Amino acid sequence: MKATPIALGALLALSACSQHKVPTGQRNADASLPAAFNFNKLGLRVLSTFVNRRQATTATLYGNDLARQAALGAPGATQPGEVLALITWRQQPDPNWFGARIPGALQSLELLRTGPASAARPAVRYQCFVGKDLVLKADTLHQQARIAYLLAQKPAVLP
Amino acid sequence: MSVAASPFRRLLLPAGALLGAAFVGIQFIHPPLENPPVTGDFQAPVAVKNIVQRACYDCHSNQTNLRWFDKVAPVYWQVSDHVKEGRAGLNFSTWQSMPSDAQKAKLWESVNQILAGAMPLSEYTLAHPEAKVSAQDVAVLKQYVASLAKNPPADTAKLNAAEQQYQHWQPGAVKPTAVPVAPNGIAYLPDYKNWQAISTTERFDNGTIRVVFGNAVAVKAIREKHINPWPNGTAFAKVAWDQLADTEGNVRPGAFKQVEYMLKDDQKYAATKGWGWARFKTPKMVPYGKDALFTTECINCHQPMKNNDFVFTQPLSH
Ligand code: HEC
Ligand code: HEC
Repeated sequence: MKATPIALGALLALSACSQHKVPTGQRNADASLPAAFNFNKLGLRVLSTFVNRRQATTATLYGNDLARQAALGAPGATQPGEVLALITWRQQPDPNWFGARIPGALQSLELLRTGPASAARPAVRYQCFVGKDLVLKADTLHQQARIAYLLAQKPAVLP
Repeated sequence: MSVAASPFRRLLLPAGALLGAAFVGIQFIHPPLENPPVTGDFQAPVAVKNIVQRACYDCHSNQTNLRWFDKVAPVYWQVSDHVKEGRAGLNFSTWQSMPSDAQKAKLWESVNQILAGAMPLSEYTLAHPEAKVSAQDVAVLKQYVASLAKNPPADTAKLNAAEQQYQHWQPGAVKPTAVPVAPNGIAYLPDYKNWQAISTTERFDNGTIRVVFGNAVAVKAIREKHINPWPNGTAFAKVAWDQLADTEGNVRPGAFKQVEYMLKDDQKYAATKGWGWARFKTPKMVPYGKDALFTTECINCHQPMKNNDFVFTQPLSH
Protein backbone atom coordinates (compact mmCIF):
# COMPACT_ATOMS: atom_id res chain seq x y z
CA MET A 1 0.00 0.00 0.00
CA LYS A 2 2.72 2.40 1.08
CA ALA A 3 4.85 1.43 -1.89
CA THR A 4 2.47 3.00 -4.38
CA PRO A 5 2.92 6.64 -3.37
CA ILE A 6 6.65 6.12 -3.03
CA ALA A 7 6.88 4.58 -6.48
CA LEU A 8 4.69 7.34 -7.87
CA GLY A 9 6.84 9.96 -6.22
CA ALA A 10 9.96 8.37 -7.64
CA LEU A 11 8.41 8.32 -11.10
CA LEU A 12 7.43 11.96 -10.82
CA ALA A 13 10.87 12.91 -9.61
CA LEU A 14 12.37 11.04 -12.54
CA SER A 15 10.15 12.65 -15.11
CA ALA A 16 10.84 16.03 -13.53
CA CYS A 17 14.54 15.38 -14.06
CA SER A 18 14.13 14.41 -17.66
CA GLN A 19 11.96 17.48 -18.29
CA HIS A 20 14.92 19.53 -17.02
CA LYS A 21 15.56 23.24 -17.31
CA VAL A 22 14.71 24.11 -20.90
CA PRO A 23 12.47 27.17 -20.71
CA THR A 24 9.43 26.84 -22.92
CA GLY A 25 7.40 29.32 -24.94
CA GLN A 26 9.72 32.13 -23.99
CA ARG A 27 10.28 35.31 -25.90
CA ASN A 28 13.46 37.29 -25.51
CA ALA A 29 11.78 40.17 -23.67
CA ASP A 30 15.02 41.96 -22.68
CA ALA A 31 16.11 42.20 -26.28
CA SER A 32 12.73 43.21 -27.72
CA LEU A 33 12.09 46.73 -28.94
CA PRO A 34 9.32 48.80 -27.33
CA ALA A 35 6.23 48.27 -29.51
CA ALA A 36 5.63 52.04 -29.48
CA PHE A 37 8.82 52.59 -31.45
CA ASN A 38 7.14 50.99 -34.46
CA PHE A 39 10.39 49.79 -35.96
CA ASN A 40 8.58 47.61 -38.50
CA LYS A 41 6.91 50.65 -40.00
CA LEU A 42 10.32 51.65 -41.38
CA GLY A 43 10.12 48.62 -43.71
CA LEU A 44 13.82 47.80 -43.48
CA ARG A 45 15.62 44.57 -44.35
CA VAL A 46 18.56 42.90 -42.65
CA LEU A 47 21.88 43.92 -44.22
CA SER A 48 24.40 42.46 -41.80
CA THR A 49 25.21 41.51 -38.24
CA PHE A 50 28.21 42.17 -36.00
CA VAL A 51 29.77 41.23 -32.71
CA ASN A 52 32.14 43.27 -30.56
CA ARG A 53 33.94 40.75 -28.37
CA ARG A 54 35.59 43.34 -26.12
CA GLN A 55 32.34 45.06 -25.32
CA ALA A 56 30.33 41.82 -25.45
CA THR A 57 27.73 43.36 -27.71
CA THR A 58 25.98 42.14 -30.83
CA ALA A 59 24.31 44.29 -33.47
CA THR A 60 22.12 43.92 -36.54
CA LEU A 61 22.26 46.39 -39.41
CA TYR A 62 19.07 47.14 -41.35
CA GLY A 63 18.48 49.25 -44.41
CA ASN A 64 15.94 50.18 -47.06
CA ASP A 65 16.52 49.38 -50.75
CA LEU A 66 18.36 52.60 -51.45
CA ALA A 67 20.68 52.09 -48.52
CA ARG A 68 21.34 48.55 -49.64
CA GLN A 69 22.18 49.60 -53.16
CA ALA A 70 24.48 52.30 -51.86
CA ALA A 71 26.19 49.88 -49.49
CA LEU A 72 26.75 47.46 -52.36
CA GLY A 73 28.16 50.18 -54.57
CA ALA A 74 31.40 52.09 -54.39
CA PRO A 75 32.22 53.66 -51.01
CA GLY A 76 30.80 57.12 -50.61
CA ALA A 77 28.03 56.57 -53.15
CA THR A 78 25.46 58.02 -50.78
CA GLN A 79 22.19 59.20 -52.30
CA PRO A 80 19.14 60.92 -50.83
CA GLY A 81 16.43 58.70 -49.33
CA GLU A 82 18.62 56.10 -47.65
CA VAL A 83 17.58 54.75 -44.27
CA LEU A 84 19.99 52.69 -42.14
CA ALA A 85 19.36 51.37 -38.65
CA LEU A 86 21.78 49.62 -36.32
CA ILE A 87 20.34 47.88 -33.28
CA THR A 88 22.86 46.95 -30.57
CA TRP A 89 22.35 44.60 -27.65
CA ARG A 90 24.47 43.44 -24.77
CA GLN A 91 25.17 39.75 -25.29
CA GLN A 92 23.95 36.99 -23.01
CA PRO A 93 24.77 33.28 -23.03
CA ASP A 94 22.21 31.24 -24.96
CA PRO A 95 20.25 29.38 -22.26
CA ASN A 96 19.54 26.59 -24.73
CA TRP A 97 22.98 26.07 -26.23
CA PHE A 98 26.33 26.08 -24.50
CA GLY A 99 28.54 27.50 -27.25
CA ALA A 100 26.34 30.42 -28.34
CA ARG A 101 25.64 34.01 -27.34
CA ILE A 102 22.40 35.78 -28.15
CA PRO A 103 21.05 39.32 -27.72
CA GLY A 104 20.44 40.38 -24.13
CA ALA A 105 19.46 43.83 -22.90
CA LEU A 106 18.68 46.32 -25.65
CA GLN A 107 21.42 48.95 -25.68
CA SER A 108 20.78 51.32 -28.57
CA LEU A 109 19.16 51.95 -31.91
CA GLU A 110 20.98 54.25 -34.29
CA LEU A 111 19.01 55.68 -37.18
CA LEU A 112 20.54 57.37 -40.19
CA ARG A 113 18.63 59.06 -43.01
CA THR A 114 20.03 60.84 -46.01
CA GLY A 115 18.30 63.76 -47.67
CA PRO A 116 19.14 66.25 -50.36
CA ALA A 117 21.86 68.56 -49.11
CA SER A 118 20.77 72.12 -48.59
CA ALA A 119 21.90 75.12 -46.58
CA ALA A 120 19.25 74.53 -43.92
CA ARG A 121 19.54 70.79 -43.47
CA PRO A 122 22.47 68.44 -43.41
CA ALA A 123 22.51 65.72 -46.01
CA VAL A 124 22.74 63.09 -43.30
CA ARG A 125 20.54 63.01 -40.23
CA TYR A 126 21.69 60.79 -37.38
CA GLN A 127 19.78 59.91 -34.23
CA CYS A 128 20.71 57.60 -31.40
CA PHE A 129 18.07 56.10 -29.12
CA VAL A 130 19.27 54.37 -25.99
CA GLY A 131 18.17 51.90 -23.34
CA LYS A 132 15.24 49.59 -22.95
CA ASP A 133 12.79 52.38 -23.85
CA LEU A 134 14.90 53.76 -26.71
CA VAL A 135 15.06 57.33 -25.45
CA LEU A 136 16.55 59.84 -27.90
CA LYS A 137 20.04 60.79 -26.80
CA ALA A 138 20.62 64.52 -26.70
CA ASP A 139 24.40 64.69 -26.84
CA THR A 140 25.89 64.67 -30.32
CA LEU A 141 29.39 63.56 -29.40
CA HIS A 142 30.94 61.03 -31.82
CA GLN A 143 28.12 61.55 -34.31
CA GLN A 144 30.43 62.09 -37.26
CA ALA A 145 32.38 58.94 -36.44
CA ARG A 146 29.19 56.92 -36.15
CA ILE A 147 27.87 58.24 -39.45
CA ALA A 148 31.10 57.31 -41.16
CA TYR A 149 30.99 53.85 -39.58
CA LEU A 150 27.41 53.18 -40.64
CA LEU A 151 27.98 54.33 -44.19
CA ALA A 152 31.10 52.19 -44.50
CA GLN A 153 29.43 48.84 -43.80
CA LYS A 154 29.06 46.28 -46.58
CA PRO A 155 26.02 44.01 -46.67
CA ALA A 156 26.56 40.35 -45.75
CA VAL A 157 26.19 37.83 -48.58
CA LEU A 158 22.53 36.78 -48.55
CA PRO A 159 21.94 34.66 -51.64
CA MET B 1 -9.82 -21.64 -0.27
CA SER B 2 -13.25 -20.18 -0.87
CA VAL B 3 -15.47 -21.52 -3.56
CA ALA B 4 -15.41 -18.17 -5.33
CA ALA B 5 -11.66 -18.29 -5.73
CA SER B 6 -11.49 -21.54 -7.59
CA PRO B 7 -12.82 -20.40 -11.00
CA PHE B 8 -10.44 -17.52 -10.64
CA ARG B 9 -7.60 -19.89 -10.00
CA ARG B 10 -8.71 -22.09 -12.81
CA LEU B 11 -8.18 -19.10 -15.14
CA LEU B 12 -5.16 -17.63 -13.44
CA LEU B 13 -2.99 -20.71 -13.54
CA PRO B 14 -3.21 -21.34 -17.29
CA ALA B 15 -2.91 -17.60 -17.95
CA GLY B 16 0.24 -17.49 -15.83
CA ALA B 17 1.63 -20.54 -17.54
CA LEU B 18 0.85 -19.03 -20.90
CA LEU B 19 2.59 -15.79 -20.01
CA GLY B 20 5.57 -17.70 -18.69
CA ALA B 21 5.76 -19.70 -21.88
CA ALA B 22 5.45 -16.52 -23.93
CA PHE B 23 8.23 -14.93 -21.87
CA VAL B 24 10.48 -17.89 -22.51
CA GLY B 25 9.38 -17.92 -26.14
CA ILE B 26 10.27 -14.31 -26.85
CA GLN B 27 13.78 -14.90 -25.53
CA PHE B 28 14.36 -16.68 -28.83
CA ILE B 29 13.49 -13.51 -30.72
CA HIS B 30 16.93 -12.10 -30.23
CA PRO B 31 18.10 -10.09 -33.22
CA PRO B 32 21.87 -10.17 -32.90
CA LEU B 33 23.69 -7.09 -31.67
CA GLU B 34 27.29 -7.31 -32.62
CA ASN B 35 30.31 -5.26 -31.73
CA PRO B 36 31.94 -4.34 -35.04
CA PRO B 37 35.68 -3.61 -34.90
CA VAL B 38 36.91 -0.38 -33.34
CA THR B 39 38.55 1.42 -36.25
CA GLY B 40 39.55 4.75 -34.71
CA ASP B 41 38.72 5.23 -31.06
CA PHE B 42 37.91 8.62 -29.49
CA GLN B 43 41.01 10.36 -28.13
CA ALA B 44 40.82 12.88 -25.31
CA PRO B 45 42.41 13.62 -21.92
CA VAL B 46 41.89 10.69 -19.53
CA ALA B 47 39.36 12.50 -17.34
CA VAL B 48 37.18 13.29 -20.37
CA LYS B 49 37.52 9.89 -21.95
CA ASN B 50 36.60 8.13 -18.71
CA ILE B 51 33.33 10.02 -18.42
CA VAL B 52 32.38 9.39 -22.03
CA GLN B 53 33.31 5.71 -21.84
CA ARG B 54 31.34 5.17 -18.68
CA ALA B 55 28.24 7.13 -19.68
CA CYS B 56 28.00 6.84 -23.44
CA TYR B 57 29.92 3.86 -24.84
CA ASP B 58 27.15 1.31 -24.35
CA CYS B 59 25.10 3.03 -27.05
CA HIS B 60 27.62 5.16 -28.93
CA SER B 61 30.52 2.80 -29.59
CA ASN B 62 31.34 -0.65 -30.91
CA GLN B 63 32.24 -1.65 -27.36
CA THR B 64 28.71 -2.15 -26.12
CA ASN B 65 28.73 -4.09 -22.89
CA LEU B 66 25.25 -5.42 -22.16
CA ARG B 67 24.53 -6.65 -18.65
CA TRP B 68 22.39 -9.78 -18.15
CA PHE B 69 19.25 -7.70 -17.46
CA ASP B 70 19.72 -5.84 -20.75
CA LYS B 71 19.62 -9.16 -22.57
CA VAL B 72 16.17 -10.18 -21.36
CA ALA B 73 13.40 -9.60 -23.92
CA PRO B 74 11.41 -7.38 -24.23
CA VAL B 75 13.93 -5.00 -22.60
CA TYR B 76 16.55 -6.33 -25.01
CA TRP B 77 14.56 -5.15 -28.02
CA GLN B 78 14.54 -1.58 -26.81
CA VAL B 79 18.18 -1.72 -25.77
CA SER B 80 19.27 -3.02 -29.15
CA ASP B 81 17.21 -0.32 -30.92
CA HIS B 82 18.88 2.31 -28.77
CA VAL B 83 22.30 0.98 -29.58
CA LYS B 84 21.59 0.89 -33.31
CA GLU B 85 20.14 4.40 -33.37
CA GLY B 86 22.78 5.68 -31.02
CA ARG B 87 25.67 4.33 -33.11
CA ALA B 88 24.11 5.70 -36.29
CA GLY B 89 24.14 9.25 -34.92
CA LEU B 90 27.39 9.16 -32.98
CA ASN B 91 30.00 6.42 -32.82
CA PHE B 92 33.11 6.95 -30.69
CA SER B 93 34.71 3.80 -32.19
CA THR B 94 34.88 5.31 -35.69
CA TRP B 95 35.80 8.74 -34.33
CA GLN B 96 39.00 9.15 -36.34
CA SER B 97 37.12 8.81 -39.64
CA MET B 98 35.47 12.19 -38.98
CA PRO B 99 37.15 15.46 -39.98
CA SER B 100 38.30 17.45 -36.96
CA ASP B 101 35.55 20.08 -37.35
CA ALA B 102 32.91 17.36 -37.31
CA GLN B 103 34.52 15.81 -34.20
CA LYS B 104 34.35 19.12 -32.39
CA ALA B 105 30.75 19.65 -33.45
CA LYS B 106 29.78 16.22 -32.08
CA LEU B 107 31.48 17.02 -28.77
CA TRP B 108 29.67 20.33 -28.36
CA GLU B 109 26.43 18.59 -29.29
CA SER B 110 27.19 15.88 -26.71
CA VAL B 111 27.76 18.39 -23.92
CA ASN B 112 24.54 20.16 -24.86
CA GLN B 113 22.57 16.91 -24.88
CA ILE B 114 23.89 16.19 -21.39
CA LEU B 115 23.14 19.72 -20.15
CA ALA B 116 19.59 19.48 -21.46
CA GLY B 117 19.13 16.18 -19.62
CA ALA B 118 18.56 14.30 -22.89
CA MET B 119 21.68 12.08 -22.62
CA PRO B 120 22.44 9.54 -21.37
CA LEU B 121 18.87 8.30 -21.87
CA SER B 122 17.01 8.25 -18.56
CA GLU B 123 15.57 4.76 -19.28
CA TYR B 124 19.16 3.61 -19.32
CA THR B 125 20.52 5.39 -16.23
CA LEU B 126 17.60 3.96 -14.28
CA ALA B 127 19.11 0.49 -14.70
CA HIS B 128 22.72 1.70 -14.97
CA PRO B 129 23.11 4.36 -12.27
CA GLU B 130 26.89 4.24 -12.68
CA ALA B 131 26.42 5.89 -16.09
CA LYS B 132 24.94 9.07 -14.63
CA VAL B 133 26.88 12.24 -15.38
CA SER B 134 27.54 14.31 -12.26
CA ALA B 135 27.75 18.10 -12.07
CA GLN B 136 31.49 17.71 -11.71
CA ASP B 137 31.67 15.54 -14.84
CA VAL B 138 29.71 18.20 -16.71
CA ALA B 139 32.22 20.85 -15.60
CA VAL B 140 35.10 18.70 -16.89
CA LEU B 141 33.39 18.21 -20.26
CA LYS B 142 32.44 21.88 -20.61
CA GLN B 143 35.97 22.98 -19.89
CA TYR B 144 37.32 20.52 -22.41
CA VAL B 145 35.08 21.57 -25.31
CA ALA B 146 35.63 25.24 -24.47
CA SER B 147 39.37 24.64 -24.81
CA LEU B 148 38.76 23.39 -28.37
CA ALA B 149 37.04 26.60 -29.44
CA LYS B 150 39.58 28.94 -30.95
CA ASN B 151 38.35 31.98 -32.79
CA PRO B 152 41.49 33.85 -33.83
CA PRO B 153 41.47 36.96 -36.04
CA ALA B 154 40.66 36.00 -39.63
CA ASP B 155 43.67 34.89 -41.69
CA THR B 156 44.20 35.81 -45.35
CA ALA B 157 42.60 32.59 -46.58
CA LYS B 158 39.37 33.38 -44.75
CA LEU B 159 39.42 37.01 -45.83
CA ASN B 160 40.03 36.03 -49.45
CA ALA B 161 37.27 33.43 -49.45
CA ALA B 162 34.85 36.03 -48.15
CA GLU B 163 35.99 38.66 -50.63
CA GLN B 164 35.72 36.27 -53.60
CA GLN B 165 32.26 35.21 -52.61
CA TYR B 166 31.19 38.82 -52.17
CA GLN B 167 32.48 39.71 -55.62
CA HIS B 168 30.55 36.87 -57.24
CA TRP B 169 27.39 37.55 -55.34
CA GLN B 170 25.16 39.67 -57.54
CA PRO B 171 21.98 40.51 -55.73
CA GLY B 172 19.37 41.14 -58.37
CA ALA B 173 21.26 39.12 -60.97
CA VAL B 174 19.13 36.55 -62.82
CA LYS B 175 18.96 33.36 -60.79
CA PRO B 176 19.00 29.89 -62.41
CA THR B 177 15.48 28.76 -63.27
CA ALA B 178 15.74 25.40 -61.48
CA VAL B 179 15.00 25.98 -57.80
CA PRO B 180 17.15 23.71 -55.58
CA VAL B 181 15.12 21.09 -53.70
CA ALA B 182 16.16 19.17 -50.57
CA PRO B 183 15.89 15.33 -50.63
CA ASN B 184 12.66 15.54 -48.60
CA GLY B 185 11.02 17.70 -51.27
CA ILE B 186 11.41 21.11 -49.61
CA ALA B 187 12.49 23.81 -52.03
CA TYR B 188 14.81 26.74 -51.35
CA LEU B 189 12.72 29.83 -50.49
CA PRO B 190 14.50 32.96 -51.74
CA ASP B 191 12.05 35.24 -49.95
CA TYR B 192 13.58 34.62 -46.52
CA LYS B 193 15.67 37.77 -47.03
CA ASN B 194 12.50 39.83 -46.71
CA TRP B 195 11.45 38.17 -43.44
CA GLN B 196 12.23 39.73 -40.08
CA ALA B 197 15.24 38.95 -37.96
CA ILE B 198 13.98 37.37 -34.74
CA SER B 199 17.43 36.72 -33.28
CA THR B 200 21.12 36.62 -34.00
CA THR B 201 23.70 34.24 -32.59
CA GLU B 202 27.42 34.28 -32.15
CA ARG B 203 28.43 30.63 -32.20
CA PHE B 204 31.84 30.43 -30.56
CA ASP B 205 31.64 26.63 -30.69
CA ASN B 206 32.08 26.60 -34.46
CA GLY B 207 33.22 30.09 -35.41
CA THR B 208 30.07 31.20 -37.19
CA ILE B 209 27.69 34.13 -36.85
CA ARG B 210 23.99 33.74 -37.60
CA VAL B 211 20.71 35.52 -38.17
CA VAL B 212 17.40 33.74 -37.60
CA PHE B 213 14.58 35.08 -39.78
CA GLY B 214 10.86 34.54 -39.18
CA ASN B 215 8.09 34.97 -41.75
CA ALA B 216 4.93 37.05 -41.18
CA VAL B 217 3.11 34.15 -39.44
CA ALA B 218 6.03 33.77 -37.03
CA VAL B 219 6.19 37.49 -36.31
CA LYS B 220 2.46 37.64 -35.59
CA ALA B 221 2.74 34.63 -33.29
CA ILE B 222 5.59 36.30 -31.39
CA ARG B 223 3.60 39.49 -30.96
CA GLU B 224 0.59 37.52 -29.72
CA LYS B 225 2.80 35.27 -27.57
CA HIS B 226 1.52 32.07 -29.17
CA ILE B 227 4.83 30.38 -29.73
CA ASN B 228 4.53 27.00 -28.08
CA PRO B 229 3.46 25.32 -30.26
CA TRP B 230 4.09 27.63 -33.18
CA PRO B 231 1.09 27.99 -35.53
CA ASN B 232 0.98 26.19 -38.88
CA GLY B 233 2.47 28.37 -41.59
CA THR B 234 5.35 29.51 -39.37
CA ALA B 235 8.64 29.53 -41.23
CA PHE B 236 12.16 30.10 -39.93
CA ALA B 237 15.31 30.59 -41.94
CA LYS B 238 18.66 30.54 -40.22
CA VAL B 239 21.65 31.91 -42.12
CA ALA B 240 25.23 31.14 -41.10
CA TRP B 241 28.41 32.93 -42.11
CA ASP B 242 32.06 32.43 -41.15
CA GLN B 243 33.19 34.89 -38.52
CA LEU B 244 35.70 37.47 -39.69
CA ALA B 245 37.31 38.89 -36.58
CA ASP B 246 39.90 41.66 -36.50
CA THR B 247 42.58 42.11 -33.84
CA GLU B 248 40.28 44.42 -31.86
CA GLY B 249 37.65 41.72 -31.49
CA ASN B 250 35.22 43.17 -34.03
CA VAL B 251 33.44 40.36 -35.84
CA ARG B 252 31.62 40.67 -39.14
CA PRO B 253 30.11 38.06 -41.44
CA GLY B 254 32.50 36.42 -43.92
CA ALA B 255 31.69 33.66 -46.39
CA PHE B 256 28.05 32.56 -46.47
CA LYS B 257 27.89 28.92 -45.36
CA GLN B 258 24.26 27.88 -45.48
CA VAL B 259 20.63 28.66 -44.98
CA GLU B 260 18.41 26.26 -43.00
CA TYR B 261 14.64 26.19 -42.88
CA MET B 262 12.00 24.93 -40.49
CA LEU B 263 8.47 25.07 -41.91
CA LYS B 264 5.61 24.30 -39.55
CA ASP B 265 2.71 22.10 -40.65
CA ASP B 266 1.62 19.56 -38.06
CA GLN B 267 -0.27 17.47 -40.67
CA LYS B 268 2.01 17.55 -43.68
CA TYR B 269 5.17 17.15 -41.59
CA ALA B 270 3.70 14.94 -38.85
CA ALA B 271 6.44 12.33 -39.45
CA THR B 272 9.19 14.86 -38.70
CA LYS B 273 7.82 16.42 -35.50
CA GLY B 274 5.52 18.83 -37.34
CA TRP B 275 8.34 20.66 -39.11
CA GLY B 276 9.70 20.51 -42.65
CA TRP B 277 13.49 20.68 -42.41
CA ALA B 278 15.91 21.76 -45.14
CA ARG B 279 19.46 23.01 -45.49
CA PHE B 280 21.12 24.58 -48.55
CA LYS B 281 24.85 25.09 -48.60
CA THR B 282 27.07 27.76 -50.19
CA PRO B 283 25.71 30.54 -52.45
CA LYS B 284 25.05 27.79 -55.02
CA MET B 285 22.36 26.50 -52.63
CA VAL B 286 23.44 22.86 -52.74
CA PRO B 287 20.75 20.77 -51.00
CA TYR B 288 22.10 18.95 -47.94
CA GLY B 289 21.51 15.22 -47.29
CA LYS B 290 21.91 11.97 -49.20
CA ASP B 291 18.24 11.09 -48.86
CA ALA B 292 15.14 12.19 -46.94
CA LEU B 293 16.59 10.64 -43.76
CA PHE B 294 18.90 13.63 -43.31
CA THR B 295 16.14 15.09 -41.14
CA THR B 296 17.03 12.55 -38.41
CA GLU B 297 20.18 14.55 -37.77
CA CYS B 298 18.25 17.81 -37.45
CA ILE B 299 15.65 16.25 -35.17
CA ASN B 300 18.17 14.45 -32.94
CA CYS B 301 19.99 17.67 -32.16
CA HIS B 302 16.78 19.69 -31.74
CA GLN B 303 15.31 16.87 -29.60
CA PRO B 304 16.25 18.45 -26.22
CA MET B 305 13.88 21.30 -27.19
CA LYS B 306 10.93 18.95 -27.65
CA ASN B 307 8.92 20.72 -24.94
CA ASN B 308 9.46 23.96 -26.84
CA ASP B 309 8.15 22.69 -30.18
CA PHE B 310 11.74 21.71 -31.16
CA VAL B 311 12.76 25.37 -31.42
CA PHE B 312 15.93 26.75 -29.80
CA THR B 313 15.53 30.43 -30.52
CA GLN B 314 13.94 32.75 -28.00
CA PRO B 315 12.51 35.26 -30.44
CA LEU B 316 12.56 39.00 -29.92
CA SER B 317 9.97 41.38 -31.28
CA HIS B 318 10.48 44.68 -33.05
C1 HEC C 1 20.91 3.83 -23.74
C2 HEC C 1 21.55 4.28 -24.90
C3 HEC C 1 22.22 5.64 -24.91
C4 HEC C 1 23.17 6.13 -24.04
C5 HEC C 1 23.75 5.48 -22.81
C6 HEC C 1 23.54 7.42 -24.57
N1 HEC C 1 22.86 7.68 -25.71
FE1 HEC C 1 23.05 9.30 -26.90
N2 HEC C 1 21.60 8.59 -28.16
C7 HEC C 1 20.91 7.42 -27.99
C8 HEC C 1 19.89 7.33 -29.02
C9 HEC C 1 18.90 6.19 -29.16
C10 HEC C 1 19.99 8.48 -29.82
C11 HEC C 1 19.14 8.89 -31.04
C12 HEC C 1 17.75 9.31 -30.72
C13 HEC C 1 17.61 10.36 -29.65
O1 HEC C 1 18.16 11.47 -29.79
O2 HEC C 1 16.95 10.08 -28.65
C14 HEC C 1 21.08 9.26 -29.25
C15 HEC C 1 21.50 10.44 -29.76
C16 HEC C 1 22.59 11.15 -29.28
C17 HEC C 1 23.13 12.33 -29.92
C18 HEC C 1 22.64 12.92 -31.22
C19 HEC C 1 23.35 12.22 -32.35
C20 HEC C 1 22.99 12.72 -33.73
O3 HEC C 1 22.19 12.07 -34.39
O4 HEC C 1 23.52 13.75 -34.12
C21 HEC C 1 24.17 12.74 -29.14
C22 HEC C 1 25.07 13.91 -29.40
C23 HEC C 1 24.26 11.83 -28.02
N3 HEC C 1 23.29 10.88 -28.14
C24 HEC C 1 25.21 11.93 -27.02
C25 HEC C 1 25.31 11.05 -25.96
C26 HEC C 1 26.27 11.20 -24.91
C27 HEC C 1 27.31 12.31 -24.83
C28 HEC C 1 26.08 10.17 -24.06
C29 HEC C 1 26.80 9.91 -22.77
C30 HEC C 1 26.87 10.98 -21.83
C31 HEC C 1 24.98 9.38 -24.57
N4 HEC C 1 24.54 9.96 -25.72
C32 HEC C 1 24.49 8.23 -23.98
C33 HEC C 1 21.15 6.48 -27.02
C34 HEC C 1 22.03 6.62 -25.95
C1 HEC D 1 24.36 19.91 -33.73
C2 HEC D 1 23.08 20.41 -33.42
C3 HEC D 1 22.15 20.85 -34.52
C4 HEC D 1 21.84 20.18 -35.67
C5 HEC D 1 22.38 18.85 -36.17
C6 HEC D 1 20.85 20.99 -36.34
N1 HEC D 1 20.55 22.11 -35.61
FE1 HEC D 1 19.26 23.58 -36.09
N2 HEC D 1 19.80 24.64 -34.44
C7 HEC D 1 20.73 24.23 -33.52
C8 HEC D 1 20.90 25.28 -32.54
C9 HEC D 1 21.82 25.21 -31.33
C10 HEC D 1 20.05 26.34 -32.91
C11 HEC D 1 19.89 27.69 -32.21
C12 HEC D 1 21.18 28.44 -32.08
C13 HEC D 1 21.70 29.02 -33.34
O1 HEC D 1 21.26 30.09 -33.73
O2 HEC D 1 22.58 28.40 -33.97
C14 HEC D 1 19.36 25.89 -34.11
C15 HEC D 1 18.41 26.63 -34.77
C16 HEC D 1 17.80 26.25 -35.95
C17 HEC D 1 16.82 27.05 -36.65
C18 HEC D 1 16.18 28.32 -36.14
C19 HEC D 1 14.95 27.96 -35.29
C20 HEC D 1 15.34 27.37 -33.94
O3 HEC D 1 15.05 26.18 -33.68
O4 HEC D 1 15.97 28.08 -33.15
C21 HEC D 1 16.52 26.38 -37.80
C22 HEC D 1 15.56 26.82 -38.89
C23 HEC D 1 17.30 25.16 -37.82
N3 HEC D 1 18.07 25.10 -36.67
C24 HEC D 1 17.25 24.21 -38.83
C25 HEC D 1 17.97 23.02 -38.82
C26 HEC D 1 17.95 22.04 -39.88
C27 HEC D 1 17.11 22.13 -41.14
C28 HEC D 1 18.81 21.04 -39.53
C29 HEC D 1 19.15 19.77 -40.28
C30 HEC D 1 19.55 19.89 -41.67
C31 HEC D 1 19.37 21.40 -38.23
N4 HEC D 1 18.83 22.60 -37.83
C32 HEC D 1 20.30 20.64 -37.55
C33 HEC D 1 21.38 23.03 -33.49
C34 HEC D 1 21.34 22.07 -34.49
